[in-house]
Amino acid sequence: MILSALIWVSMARRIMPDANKDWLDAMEAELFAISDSAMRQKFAFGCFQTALFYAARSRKGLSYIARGGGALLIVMMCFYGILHSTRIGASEELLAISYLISGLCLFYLGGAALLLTSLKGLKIYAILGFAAALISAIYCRFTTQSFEGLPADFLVAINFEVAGIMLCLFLASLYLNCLYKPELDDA
Amino acid sequence: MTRKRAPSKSTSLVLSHLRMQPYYGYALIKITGLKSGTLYPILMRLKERGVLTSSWEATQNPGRPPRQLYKLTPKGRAHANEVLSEDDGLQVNIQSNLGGMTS
Repeated sequence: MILSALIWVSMARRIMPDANKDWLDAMEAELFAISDSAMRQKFAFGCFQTALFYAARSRKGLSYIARGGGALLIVMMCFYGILHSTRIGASEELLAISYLISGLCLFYLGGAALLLTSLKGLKIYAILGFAAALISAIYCRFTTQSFEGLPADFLVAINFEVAGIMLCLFLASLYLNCLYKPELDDA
Repeated sequence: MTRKRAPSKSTSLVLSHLRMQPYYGYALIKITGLKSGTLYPILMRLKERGVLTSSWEATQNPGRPPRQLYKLTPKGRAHANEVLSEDDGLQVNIQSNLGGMTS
């Protein structure tokens, strides 16, 4: 709840299904009637929760929740794997793979969250991810740098895959912009 | 044959207050103690079922935007009477909370 009340409402406006958007006008009008700033933030956060609930009820929302929830589950399993490995002294390769998969899933979660709220943000995120992965791949290739026992070739392959995923994400966001321009275009 | 589900305690609380008089959203939050994330889905559901109606009302403060006032429809009033007649304990609590809070 550290975000400003109006930011919560604007985020709610992006995810609320069109059929219920008029309710957000009503919620926003109530914000001006609340004098206490802490109450205003709680109220605005509740509005965001309402929008999230209704977005989840729509087919689009359920798909995001299923994919985001799946990615979160994999991240949590990787964190558990990391904690468990550090305690029992499992192989460095297993630990390194857990780190990499956790990082990839966090990257995916970030992309999914941006897709829900901002196509422009998603494009920037994808381009930055593509650039970072490509630079990392080139670095690993020419320096033969290993990571926690994982050979350089393996790291290069992972980085190229991530770069490919990020490029696909960027192209997909361009495609979505062409398809759904009136709804998802960022002003 | 469809099974009739009893409304939740929160819904009954909202209905019991709205039966007395119309309320603005924030006023309902103050009087019921519910959070906005709980109240507004209830209001939206009640409006979808035709139990509730809303109207934009100009506020007394100049420069402030109009606010939505919520009140029960005749169908909603009948539904509230039916629901609340089965829960006398709730009505006792409502009477003690009433304070003419519409703002």
